[in-house]
Amino acid sequence: MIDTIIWLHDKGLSISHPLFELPNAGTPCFFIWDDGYFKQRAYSLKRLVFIYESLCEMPIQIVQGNTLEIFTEMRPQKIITPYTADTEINHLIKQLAKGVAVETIRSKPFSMTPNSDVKRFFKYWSKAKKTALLEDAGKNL
Amino acid sequence: MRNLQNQFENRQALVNYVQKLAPWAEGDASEIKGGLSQGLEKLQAIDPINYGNTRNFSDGKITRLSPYVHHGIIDLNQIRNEALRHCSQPEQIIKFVQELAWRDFWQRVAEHHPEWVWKDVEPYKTGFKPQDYAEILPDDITSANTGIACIDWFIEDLINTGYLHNHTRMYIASYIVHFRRIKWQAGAKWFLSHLLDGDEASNNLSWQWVASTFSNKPYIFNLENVDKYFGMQVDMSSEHNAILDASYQQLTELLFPNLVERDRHD
Repeated sequence: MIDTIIWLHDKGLSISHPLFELPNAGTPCFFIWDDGYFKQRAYSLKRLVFIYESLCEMPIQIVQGNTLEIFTEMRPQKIITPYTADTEINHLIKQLAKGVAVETIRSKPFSMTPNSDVKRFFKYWSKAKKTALLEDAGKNL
Repeated sequence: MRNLQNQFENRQALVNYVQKLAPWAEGDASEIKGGLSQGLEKLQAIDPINYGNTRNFSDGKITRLSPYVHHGIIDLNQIRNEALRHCSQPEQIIKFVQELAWRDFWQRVAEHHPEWVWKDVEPYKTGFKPQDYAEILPDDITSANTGIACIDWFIEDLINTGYLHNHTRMYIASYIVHFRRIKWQAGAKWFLSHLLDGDEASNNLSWQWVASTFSNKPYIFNLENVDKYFGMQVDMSSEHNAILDASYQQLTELLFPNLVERDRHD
């Protein structure tokens, strides 16, 4: 049984993502080319080629198959994956979380605004601009 | 589970390989290439100071980084940090950073209200009910054959490149929802299949903003507006864009007759 796996989905194609700071070196990292997922989203060839070109620049393994079936077969103890607001990916994560611990990690923040409920942009911006105009969102302040 | 190839002799070989993996996928590859190296090249070329005054124009200093941001290849923090290196005062790049903030904002909205990504946030403010809007996009729109020269030109651009200037996204969305009275969801879904930066939150909530289900009023445009920003690029003749060659008052009366009627009675 594998201990921990890094799963990169198509909204998190970066090996500079903060999630790579967490696990031990040598943690396997996969992208799953899930035909059913892409088909459901009706991605055009343009989109698929863009994703594939991006994957080819990364030192990761690209495997083909159904995401849920692959993880069921691998039986890792934990999956680490980039956070996304995407509803399809989050649906997959919920499905995965029924059988294995899944940890989502956020990318570096754009602003230090509390992650509260917002509806109109300028209300959000009046708070966000205090740190959005600072390097690393003023992380070292 | 099968390991897939990650090295190719050239781009065409990669495109052929992807075509075999997804024979159902429509269209051809875009001239816009994926990958961190391409994203970093675009990041090095940003002009965040001049962006503010030129961003609305077709030849403005836009970054075209959105496909790389959408796929997490480059993040907003990196872009903002790079932009800060181009200015002596952060105020010089405020418009640029504000546009980055829109993406952050849409993600936050979707995080708190994932149901808003596909459902109307508020009622339409057009004088029409949701059931007054068609569910399906007609073929003349998806094949760039509407007969409106500028709209067809923008749609062809979407289909060929998978990228659109923000203004042209709004023009197409407004045309579909308000001029053709089709549900924003149909247009949003179509955009997501083509746009390299097609992001549920940014795309769908922007469609709702145009539709007026996530804003105070519907967004409409006329030929004069398109001419101002895209006149150098597109056939702007009145003859080939007849329906758009009108004042905002005329378009409001044409597109939202129930609102005009209601105003008369108020």
